Amino acid sequence: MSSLCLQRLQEERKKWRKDHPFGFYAKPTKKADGSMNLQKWEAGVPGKEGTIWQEGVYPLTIEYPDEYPSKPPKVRLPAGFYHPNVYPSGTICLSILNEDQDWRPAITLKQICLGIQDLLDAPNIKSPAQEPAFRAFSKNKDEYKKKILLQAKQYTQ
Amino acid sequence: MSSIEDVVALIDALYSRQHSSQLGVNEIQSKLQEIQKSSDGLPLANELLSNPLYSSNVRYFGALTLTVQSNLESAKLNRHELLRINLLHLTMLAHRYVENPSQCAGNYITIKKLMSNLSLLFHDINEAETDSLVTETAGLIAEWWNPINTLVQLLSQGNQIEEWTHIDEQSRDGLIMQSLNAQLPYQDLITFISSNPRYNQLLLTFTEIIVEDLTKLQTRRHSTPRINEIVHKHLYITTMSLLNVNLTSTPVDQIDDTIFKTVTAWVTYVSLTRSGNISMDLSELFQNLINLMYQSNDDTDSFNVAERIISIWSYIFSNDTTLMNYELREQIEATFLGVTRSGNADVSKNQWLLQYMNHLVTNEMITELKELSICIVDFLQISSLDLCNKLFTKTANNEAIIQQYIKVLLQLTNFPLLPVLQESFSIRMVDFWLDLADSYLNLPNEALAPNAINVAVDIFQQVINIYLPKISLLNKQKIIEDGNDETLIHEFEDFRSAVTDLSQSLWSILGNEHLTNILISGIGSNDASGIVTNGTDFSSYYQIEAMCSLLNKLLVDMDLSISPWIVNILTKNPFFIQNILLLFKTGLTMDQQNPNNGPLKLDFIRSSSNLIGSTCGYFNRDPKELNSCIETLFQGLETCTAKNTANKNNNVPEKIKEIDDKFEVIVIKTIATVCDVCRKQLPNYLVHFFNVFNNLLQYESNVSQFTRGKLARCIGYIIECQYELGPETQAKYIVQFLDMINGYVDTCLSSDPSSITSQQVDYIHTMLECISEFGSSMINNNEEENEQLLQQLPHYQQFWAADPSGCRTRVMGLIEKILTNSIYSTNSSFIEVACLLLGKTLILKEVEPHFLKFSMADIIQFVLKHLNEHNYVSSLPFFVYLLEKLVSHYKDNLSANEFDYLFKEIFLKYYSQYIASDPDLLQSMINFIISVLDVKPSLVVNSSEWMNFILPTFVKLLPSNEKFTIFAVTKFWTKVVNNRKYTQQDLQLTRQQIIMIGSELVYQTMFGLYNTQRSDLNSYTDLLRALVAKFPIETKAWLIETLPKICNNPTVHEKFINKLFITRGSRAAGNVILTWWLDVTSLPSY
Repeated sequence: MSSLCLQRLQEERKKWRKDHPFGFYAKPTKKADGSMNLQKWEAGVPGKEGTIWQEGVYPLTIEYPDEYPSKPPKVRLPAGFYHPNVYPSGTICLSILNEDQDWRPAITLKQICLGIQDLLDAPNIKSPAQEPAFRAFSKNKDEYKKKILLQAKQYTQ
Repeated sequence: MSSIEDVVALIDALYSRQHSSQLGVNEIQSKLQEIQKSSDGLPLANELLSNPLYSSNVRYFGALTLTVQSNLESAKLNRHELLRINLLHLTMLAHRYVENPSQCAGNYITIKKLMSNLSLLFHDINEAETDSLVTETAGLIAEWWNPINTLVQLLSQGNQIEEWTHIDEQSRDGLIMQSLNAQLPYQDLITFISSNPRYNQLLLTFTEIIVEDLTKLQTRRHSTPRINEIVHKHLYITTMSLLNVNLTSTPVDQIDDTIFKTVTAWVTYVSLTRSGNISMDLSELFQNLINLMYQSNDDTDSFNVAERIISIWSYIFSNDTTLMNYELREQIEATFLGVTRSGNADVSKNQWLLQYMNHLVTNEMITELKELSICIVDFLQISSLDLCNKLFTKTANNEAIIQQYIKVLLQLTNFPLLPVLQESFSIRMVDFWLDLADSYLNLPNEALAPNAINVAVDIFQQVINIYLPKISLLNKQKIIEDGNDETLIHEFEDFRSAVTDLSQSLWSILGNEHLTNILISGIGSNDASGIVTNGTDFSSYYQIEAMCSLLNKLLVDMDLSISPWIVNILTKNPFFIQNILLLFKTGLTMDQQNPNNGPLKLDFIRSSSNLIGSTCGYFNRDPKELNSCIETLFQGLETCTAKNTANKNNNVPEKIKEIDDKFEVIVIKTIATVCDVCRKQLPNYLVHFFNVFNNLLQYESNVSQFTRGKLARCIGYIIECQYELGPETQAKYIVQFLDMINGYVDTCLSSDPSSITSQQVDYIHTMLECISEFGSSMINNNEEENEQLLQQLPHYQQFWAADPSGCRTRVMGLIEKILTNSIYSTNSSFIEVACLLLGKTLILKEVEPHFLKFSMADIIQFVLKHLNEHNYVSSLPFFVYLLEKLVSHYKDNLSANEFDYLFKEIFLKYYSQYIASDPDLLQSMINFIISVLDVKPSLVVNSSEWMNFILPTFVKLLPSNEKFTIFAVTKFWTKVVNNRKYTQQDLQLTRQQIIMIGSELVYQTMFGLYNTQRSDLNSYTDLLRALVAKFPIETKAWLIETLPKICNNPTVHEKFINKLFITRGSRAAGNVILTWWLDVTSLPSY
């Protein structure tokens, strides 16, 4: 890991601990030897209040490449997560996480997590990443809603 | 140009709330903006600022016009003039303000605007190196060192300033130009500010505005080194003199807020501009601030000055601690803690801090106390690594001082007030302890002092002991009782979660011995059943709850089924399980109608349930308390259904319903975890589970689909683990399960079709979902158990192949019964769940037995039958999902002819009627073919429809307008061109086919690319790369042949072809394609 990457990730950790939105969590994982792995984080994003997502806290894994912050982190929900902009592998399709689109080195973990929370209830139909959720979202909102509510229960804490 | 009177009238109208002008605000604004930007802007501004009869709004507008003029492209050439006008008017307005502050107070905003204009000019003049030619030829100013000195020089003219309006312009200009870079001795500056406090105020404001603007400009632009050097040499010296005189000579109760604003602006600027060459030392300033801070007290200024200075420290400690040197930090350390790591500083000043804290606590100044806690903990975090070294490494010395230091930190953590509601020290200190623990864990073993482990255990155990009562729900209860402020509750929950994370980190130091065992002992050493609650006071359980919540975090990833440690420790703490269950039961009995209890009830249930879930592996070693655990959890579930019924019948607030919903989810998830982990201990409970399931399956039972599905899973887990009894016994239970579902489905289906409600439709759907969940739980991935199952495998395979108990017939019968009912047949979600059921075991290996292992014929028959009967458009994607799995599973049993048959029956028959016009269906069809190309390409490339329909049709889909079709079809063609799964024969065949249609393929690809949107370009990139890689010579020829047919731009085409064939990597190819697309479409790049 480059010193720039390390420095920035330490800064991100400090910032997050000092100020993060309520209900969210994020922390670096531990390596097998018990030391901290700053390049791989576990995080949780709560569904927005008043939406069909509200019951759940959705777990994320965030992997920072060596080139971070020049390159964005790879952010994943669990594989098979039901959402139009989540690939079957769980990788999230969000412009601020795409190096070729809106990623900027100044984007913080907090902004990423809030961006994902927004995306949950406001999918971008221009960038579908999986067929079932996209189809239901575009053609059968009732079915979509039922599946989201059921999925939310799975992630209730 | 309008007359000056017209402009003044417009300005007055703009700022007036009830303007009488016939023009709207927007029109006025645009008219005025036009004038401001015009060549008349400068004379207009001059006039508006000169005439003392105009209102202060008009004068401000004049200053604003100078700002607009300064930002124009032509400002470079007008810099001299702009500087002259701004300085002239600043001097005159400032002079009048000093002479008559009360009457001219309205001018202050204009003065500040003029100062800001001058700060921009200060920057531009000094950074204008590239403009030296212009500067020389135009005789303009090349450098401006110190605007403060300039202003002092000009204001020193005193009453002569009033005469400036009468003297000739040349003389006036001369005065201004002379003052520009005139030197100002220190004593003159001090004499000047002492002559009138308004001068002092003006100079402080001016220097504040300059550095604030410079800070803004620095963050916007890359680097402005020259201006920083000039500031360092001139303005910095003047400002420091000004600030230090103010801080040392003004009595604390008379000190003006302007000084702190100026200090803050300078600290920010200095922090931003520090580099190797420029270092503006602020030590003297900080020392004076520290001294002033000690003068601030309850009697002099009610600690107002202290508050302001603490906020400056806060900024420094959280942003740039190195601004403050070691000696100063040591003074702060002594003040904040009453002890220093070096043992050198004067610790008596800690008394001052204690008085300040006392003042904040006595006056309930919670926000200020929080600010102080942030400041102190930020300060502590600077030196956590050093403290760690002093505490735990061989370099450690002066142990007594360090022990004293730790004692203070522990006292600070144990701040004697309620966290969140009254104090924030304990909350902020979590971060500090986490840092200290991290630092300790990162120390190499060889560096550790011999007693380091004991010291660490001692300290961190105390930390845990302090936090346990702090995170108690008693404090949450008090927040709720205090007004139920959501933000405070959230803050408290965040605090609890931070402490839980801390305990997880501390486990690496304390281990089971000093942490987990202590918590277990805290929960389970005494019988808690004697604790009496009077229905409203649950405080005695709060400590157990807090320990449960920490312990759960420690145990969550441990496999207790294989741990001898857990048996030993729980033997020593016989009330552990019982007390957790008591906590759960207490949660159940809490009266939720009392608005204060709802969140606490959920916390009780969540903490106890989660801990049951994470410790239940223990029951595999000692199952004696499993019974009471299951009973209690079912009791919880029963309470949920009763509550749901009551909620349904009564008008219960949404908030309570939400809590009950969560409660149900938590309980059923815990039951499912216990059943999954302890399945081997549960066969005796099967009857009980069936009974509960039977109750919950009833239509009237008020539980969610989620709960029913989870319970079906639980039954599956218990049946699955009884493989030693043979498939016949398992089949008996499976039949019992299916018959139970069947019975409820029959009852529901028999109701009057005209009165079917959406709840009934959902109910029937849930029944099928339950079978699906049950089927999933019958798949066991436990390798160890599979070893034992292996011995019985042939018998199981034989049994389930024959299915003598008719399990599959029952499932299929049930599906048919539902799908042939007109109410349900139109709802594609039933096709979806049916496909899910039929495809459930298609992921299993051929040899693995399962009661849902349907044959290929059964599945195909089902698809063909229902494809025709149901809504083709909405159901096709589900059938395709099933077919993809089917082909993948039975690929070796299928022939190309059979594939042809399936393709014709399922897709071709409906192509023109439905698929061709529906992008989603097109995508489904193409994806199906791709999935076949992925698993066994020979099935499709040897089929008759491959050449008859698939290739000719799919090539025409390349220039589609639909994003999803483009995505699927380009993926298809990429797979056709480059497929690792091809046999040698497949490869030869497809190469010939591509060469045959290559020209058309490339034409359609490039035509599609030419006409597509920018966002879809990437879809074509992989296909073009595959063609270039696999057919380089042919593709070049095809491109040369086809590109001129698309558009006539030979140079661009040639460049594109040449670049494409020497490019490596997807991104580079993407850029080449993008460049061609931009060139041929003449669209702009961005």
